[in-house]
Amino acid sequence: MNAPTVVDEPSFEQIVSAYYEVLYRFALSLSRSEAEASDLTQQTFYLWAAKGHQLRDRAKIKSWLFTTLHREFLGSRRRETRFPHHEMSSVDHELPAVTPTMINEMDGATVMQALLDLDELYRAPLMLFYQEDHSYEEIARLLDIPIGTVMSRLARGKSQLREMLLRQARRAREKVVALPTLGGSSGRNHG
Amino acid sequence: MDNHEAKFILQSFRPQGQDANDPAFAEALKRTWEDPELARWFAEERSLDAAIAGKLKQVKAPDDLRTAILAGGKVGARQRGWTLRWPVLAWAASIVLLLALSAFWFRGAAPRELAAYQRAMLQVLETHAGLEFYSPDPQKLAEWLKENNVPVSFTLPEKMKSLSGLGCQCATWNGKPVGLLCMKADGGQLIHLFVIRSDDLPSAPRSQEPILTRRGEWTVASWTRGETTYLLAGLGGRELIRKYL
Repeated sequence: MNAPTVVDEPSFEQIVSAYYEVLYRFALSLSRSEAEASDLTQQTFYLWAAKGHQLRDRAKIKSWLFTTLHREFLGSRRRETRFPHHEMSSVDHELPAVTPTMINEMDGATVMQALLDLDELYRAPLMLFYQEDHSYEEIARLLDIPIGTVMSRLARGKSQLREMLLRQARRAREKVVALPTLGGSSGRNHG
Repeated sequence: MDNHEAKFILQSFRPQGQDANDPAFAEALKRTWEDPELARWFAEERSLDAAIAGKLKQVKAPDDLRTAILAGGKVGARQRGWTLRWPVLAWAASIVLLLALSAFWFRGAAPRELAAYQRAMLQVLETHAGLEFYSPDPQKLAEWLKENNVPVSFTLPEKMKSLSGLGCQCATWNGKPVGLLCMKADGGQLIHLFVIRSDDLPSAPRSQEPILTRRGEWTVASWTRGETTYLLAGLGGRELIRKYL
């Protein structure tokens, strides 16, 4: 008979190391403020330290942390109702032609800022989706919204995000340094 | 299922393929095998999502966030109370705790978290009620506080000893005395030091190393040395506060 497998319970430090970065990014998508995101993340881990022992299923630590952070965020402010910047009567699956190459030319902060500029409805589900730690079902549970709503917000949010990124990419390309002209010529024809 | 529906579903498919075995995607995925145009769209979708996900993951948390979390976690763990491994002892401890809490609440309940204390002290600064005693000499400010019912023994951080004082006042936290010293930092900015007996702040940080955090527009640093808990606050970034720690 095999001895039972003993699974060491992760220490507080291990849990922090595993999740604080992804929690911070999620908090940033909610609050749009680095300072508030730090506070929300700290507060979430503080609550884990104080109450986490009550969680019986240790496999749900990640879910507990994200749900708690989201709840802390909601509790800290009134939810503002805003209309999306771009109303669409139906989701256009033929999305703007931003390419992976354009994205790879940007830095992370630029892409993050584009996400933070989106309507609040889309920021949280998109950030959770792009962190890749949560399925659409887990996102629905975490944000306490129906699965269909998650899919819809992901679809619309991606469309808006790509539009913003495309504009960003075009703006970057339009920053052309004008070459000095010689004797009034365009400088294009040589020889 | 038509392509429109398939695309709607597949836009929720994580780019690294984590959802490959999720039955919810099965039918839509099958369509991509049958329709080259849909397959092309799906490949581009995943490629773009992977690029965006990669860029977002480049955004890192602030350097000192992990340290601050670990320090705060020690406070939370202490507040967890008695272990539950010994039920009888836990029951007895619960009764003792309830009795202690009853005595406390009878005196007047008050929030005990460190964050609540920090916010309350920042509120003191934001009300601009004016300082009670003015002097350019920080030593005189300290003496005035002692003479005016703030019997908190404290030592100014070394880097603050050369600063010119502005003034001080008395504050309270849950009925306990708190001293506030305001000083002029380099560049004309003001920094504010609150001192309280650490026994009067149960959630006081036990670390002698300052823990920095943001509260709105303020940066605050909290630490305990000896019997005193310090809170240094300034408007703006962490650099201003770090300079004097």
